[in-house]
Amino acid sequence: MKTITKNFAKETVALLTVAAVLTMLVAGAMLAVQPMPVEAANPDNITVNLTVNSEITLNCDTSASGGETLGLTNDTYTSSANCNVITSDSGGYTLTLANDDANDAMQSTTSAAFFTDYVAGTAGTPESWSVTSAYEFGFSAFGDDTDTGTYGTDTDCDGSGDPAGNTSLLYRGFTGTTDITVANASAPTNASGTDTMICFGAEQNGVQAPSGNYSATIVATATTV
Amino acid sequence: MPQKKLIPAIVLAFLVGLFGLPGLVSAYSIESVNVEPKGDFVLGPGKAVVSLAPGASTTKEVYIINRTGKTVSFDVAVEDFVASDKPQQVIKLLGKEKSPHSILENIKPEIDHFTLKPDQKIIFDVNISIPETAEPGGRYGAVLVSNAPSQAESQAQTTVVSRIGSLFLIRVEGPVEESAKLTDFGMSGPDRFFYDPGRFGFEILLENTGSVHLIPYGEVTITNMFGKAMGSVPVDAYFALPDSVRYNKVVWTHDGFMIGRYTAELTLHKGYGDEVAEATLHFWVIPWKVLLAVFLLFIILIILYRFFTRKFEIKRR
Repeated sequence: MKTITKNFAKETVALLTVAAVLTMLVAGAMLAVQPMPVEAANPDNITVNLTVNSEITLNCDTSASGGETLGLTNDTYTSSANCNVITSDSGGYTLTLANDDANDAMQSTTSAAFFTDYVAGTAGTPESWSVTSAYEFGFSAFGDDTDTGTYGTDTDCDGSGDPAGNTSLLYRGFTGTTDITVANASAPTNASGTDTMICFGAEQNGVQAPSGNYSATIVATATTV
Repeated sequence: MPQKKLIPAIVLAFLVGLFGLPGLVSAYSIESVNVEPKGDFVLGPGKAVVSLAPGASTTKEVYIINRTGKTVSFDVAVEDFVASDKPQQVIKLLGKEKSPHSILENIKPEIDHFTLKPDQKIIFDVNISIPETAEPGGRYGAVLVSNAPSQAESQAQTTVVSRIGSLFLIRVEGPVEESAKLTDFGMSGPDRFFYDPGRFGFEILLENTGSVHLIPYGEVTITNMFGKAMGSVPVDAYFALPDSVRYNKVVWTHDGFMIGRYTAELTLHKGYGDEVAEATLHFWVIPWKVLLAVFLLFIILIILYRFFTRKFEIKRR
């Protein structure tokens, strides 16, 4: 039995060695015969000029869709708004979000109550959603031009109505009117542009938010760079 | 004046005042354009680079095209911007704050509010003037156009207002310090021992150590291990703000077969004088999927060869 196993191991090693040597010979042959670019001899040049304007568009949903009602039987809320940017500028673009005034973003329309802007463990650093003994409002984002290292990524904002359910998204709060980058690129977009999905979340944990209607006005800004 | 002539004169004066004077005072124009509704509005130009002597002034045009398919009201505002402390984010708008290179007192859009019907385009002036006593150097800001949501939309729980900015980079002429250094040139993404053929990203970091913005540009040339040029990709002109590090990325794609060691050479004109920065990097391309398939094919062929060889040996015996 031992002899059979030993012979099998020997044969396998021999087989792999031969195959590897032959593969390397093939790789060397590929290296030697790879197509070389050939310059045209004495080209005759014809100059054609064309101008492309530097332009940019922004199309955001004017109001976030979805959004659960909070109360005694529900403590969490998620909603979303999509922003599409198209630009022809060779430098690309930046897309930012900001609250429209210096107060916390989600304010009651009928009283002085408000949801605190989401408080992350490290100020300004998005993290997995977690609210304790407060009612807070925050956001995340995902898209082809959104840094996954900063915001994580997902395919939707729903989380079954709970931002903590979006386990792969990282959330943060607004900081007054300071612009916060959610997407950027260093080249023109394609003709249909690039979508960035903004995911909003809110939660009351351990405390009850006062009843009433609340609203937030978020300013999305796109500029070329 | 007899009363009979007075009334027509008053009416005529009223009509001139109503229709004639605004045309004489304002330069903006609104025209219909043939565009497909896309739910958005287009702003151009994306940026303007202006050079003016102290005491000089000029005018630049900004235009907006309404492709939303509905009548929209827009507001116009100006904000300063500075370089972001994160190179990949490039700029940071400052809202109501003034920057050290503030533009707020130097530019004034002709209008601050307008309404466009669907498929209309407005062209308005942005007046730029530099005081006689202005210090030489850069001034940076954006003309921002935002849409005002309708009353129904503003009742929603979360309303999103869209703004697009046209960047203005103004250089006040005079003695300034222009200097920059190339701080990094590398492959984009995590470090790898080798790359798959096809698409290669090159990242460039340029630190502007001067007092005015620069407009660098250049080219990345790729050669194979035999020194033959495989291709090149332009580094289109871009801006680098003073006291900042500007990130740029260019992508080279090559459809042909690649294997071996390649060299990428960056030639970057810094944007002042004849100053050029050069850098070189090497990278390996190994079409491992192709080689893996060849390897597996050889294993199969060897196994089959051994199998048939042994079968014939047994038969002969």
